[in-house]
Amino acid sequence: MIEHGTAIAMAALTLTGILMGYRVALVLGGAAAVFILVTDTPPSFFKLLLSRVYSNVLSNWLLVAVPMFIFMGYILEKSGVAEISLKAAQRALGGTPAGMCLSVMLIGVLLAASSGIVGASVVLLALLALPRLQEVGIDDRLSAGLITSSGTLAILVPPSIMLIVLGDQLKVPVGDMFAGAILPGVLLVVLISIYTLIRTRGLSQVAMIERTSLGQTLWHLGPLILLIICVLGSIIGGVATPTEAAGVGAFGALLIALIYGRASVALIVRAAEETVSATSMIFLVLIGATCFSAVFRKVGGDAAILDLIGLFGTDPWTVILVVMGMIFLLGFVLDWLEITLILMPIFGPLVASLDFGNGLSGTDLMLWFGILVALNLQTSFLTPPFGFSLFYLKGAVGEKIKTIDIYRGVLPFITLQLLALAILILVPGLATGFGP
Amino acid sequence: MFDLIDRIATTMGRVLMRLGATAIVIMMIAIVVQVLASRMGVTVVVTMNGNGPLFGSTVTLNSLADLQWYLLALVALLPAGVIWLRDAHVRVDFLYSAFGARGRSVVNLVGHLVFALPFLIFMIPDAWELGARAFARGEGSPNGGLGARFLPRGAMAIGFALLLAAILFETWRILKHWSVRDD
Repeated sequence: MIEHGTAIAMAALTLTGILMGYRVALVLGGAAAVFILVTDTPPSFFKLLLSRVYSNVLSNWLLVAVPMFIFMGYILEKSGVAEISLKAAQRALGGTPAGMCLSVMLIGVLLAASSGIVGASVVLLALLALPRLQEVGIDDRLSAGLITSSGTLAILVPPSIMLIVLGDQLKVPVGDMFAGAILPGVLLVVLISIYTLIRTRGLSQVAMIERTSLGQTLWHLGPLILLIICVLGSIIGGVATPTEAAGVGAFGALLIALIYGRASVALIVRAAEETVSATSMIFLVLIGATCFSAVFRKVGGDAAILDLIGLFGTDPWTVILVVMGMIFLLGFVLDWLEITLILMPIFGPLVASLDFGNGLSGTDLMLWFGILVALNLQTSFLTPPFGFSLFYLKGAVGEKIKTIDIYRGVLPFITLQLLALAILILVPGLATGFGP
Repeated sequence: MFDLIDRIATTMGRVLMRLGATAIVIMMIAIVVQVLASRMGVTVVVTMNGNGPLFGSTVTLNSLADLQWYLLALVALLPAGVIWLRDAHVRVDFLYSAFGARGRSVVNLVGHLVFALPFLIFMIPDAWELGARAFARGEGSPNGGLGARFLPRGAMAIGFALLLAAILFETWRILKHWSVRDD
């Protein structure tokens, strides 16, 4: 382990900085700078970092899709279009406790496929659905688990920013990543449905939802669903690049807001400013992590991590389990973005060199691995005590649900996530057998 | 003095956010026009009189694509300082939030010293050099896209410099709070 001293010191400094709560982006960039200065790395390495930031992050046209998808999501959320559609879905499905639960999840799917912002999804679901769930007698734990896990689908179901960044890192076309996430997403939804149906058996039927006409439902749901189909369809079908689909999708979201009479200059400004804020945050982390990765590799960090994995064994299945375990554990403290940016350049080539005996190689192998990572990182949003979705839920419901009930309620859903992960490990076709 | 800078920072923040918002909208429009034009088989969207520094004399599909990532580079970097002062950058806060005001200030000051300053102080001069060189050489797209490559290149220098200014100002704010309380 001695030869890895520098790499371990760098990892330790970085983890300390992050855990103490200093802004993550500059912990990463700062650790890079410090380890250029204290090792024998020439100061000209800073120039290399800049050119890497410039070519990998700033002049990466694919990443234009990131602010555009964020913009689209904010327009749908802030204009109230998302809320209109959610209420329509709820009226169409809710009527029994089980129906109510299923409607929460399907709304989660709709939100995921249109906005892809976990925080917004969880908060919206909590505000709209929690009162109805409590009315029909669903207990707090099930409600909390259902809302957080449905809201967290936003990070897995395309168009997800995580899938764009993962695809970029693993050199898998984003269209393939999007297509590959669909069946695992469906699997997760089915697992959650089955679990909820079991849990709500025996609850009395309460129908207290005012029924609306089919026309009304279509009018409230149709435009959003059409937008989702166009945006995702054009990317997965290869008709448009993610950037094109995202830009046109944001424009489409504005048009929808317009036909509902919800569009205004104030709305556009608000949505665009939130987008600027989110974009700048994400890109500062991208920049910091790009610098970190380059220096970490320079001081032998890759070799250190590969050696660490090697301690457990070299059999492909052992390696993938160790890699998944590391990502899962790091997910307790780090964000999906840092994990993706720092570890994918190391894990990607490692996994690419393995033969799992399941016929996967090249892009298919990376696609399968990428979706496994996505599912794994999605779970990290739910793991107590630091899962982001749990914070969002607590923030939205205040004292209406106790924190301990949120933690307990989410546990079965984490188990379902891990079950889906296990199934995907055993059946790679779920990720690779679909799409172009 | 402090209040004056505070006001300047707030105003600049508002202006930068508004400009960024405009950039987002232009980015969207550029994509929509690019998609329409490319699907209709048009490559030169507009021909203009004269020869501007950014577009040259024509707006082509390539220049629209370039425009999008130029804007992205500006939106990603220039508001970093503003967002820093609004304390919106991501932190992992399960310990941080339990620290109390004084503990948090210590984390921030030590963090500035250990992480932010080494990074920014070494990156800014090199970034500036990159931008200045692109400007001096009149770097532009090799394939009929936009000119003025110094804009996205220089964005790094300006963005980091604004971030450094924000961090110095935040340091001042923290120290000021301390001296007020110690009085």
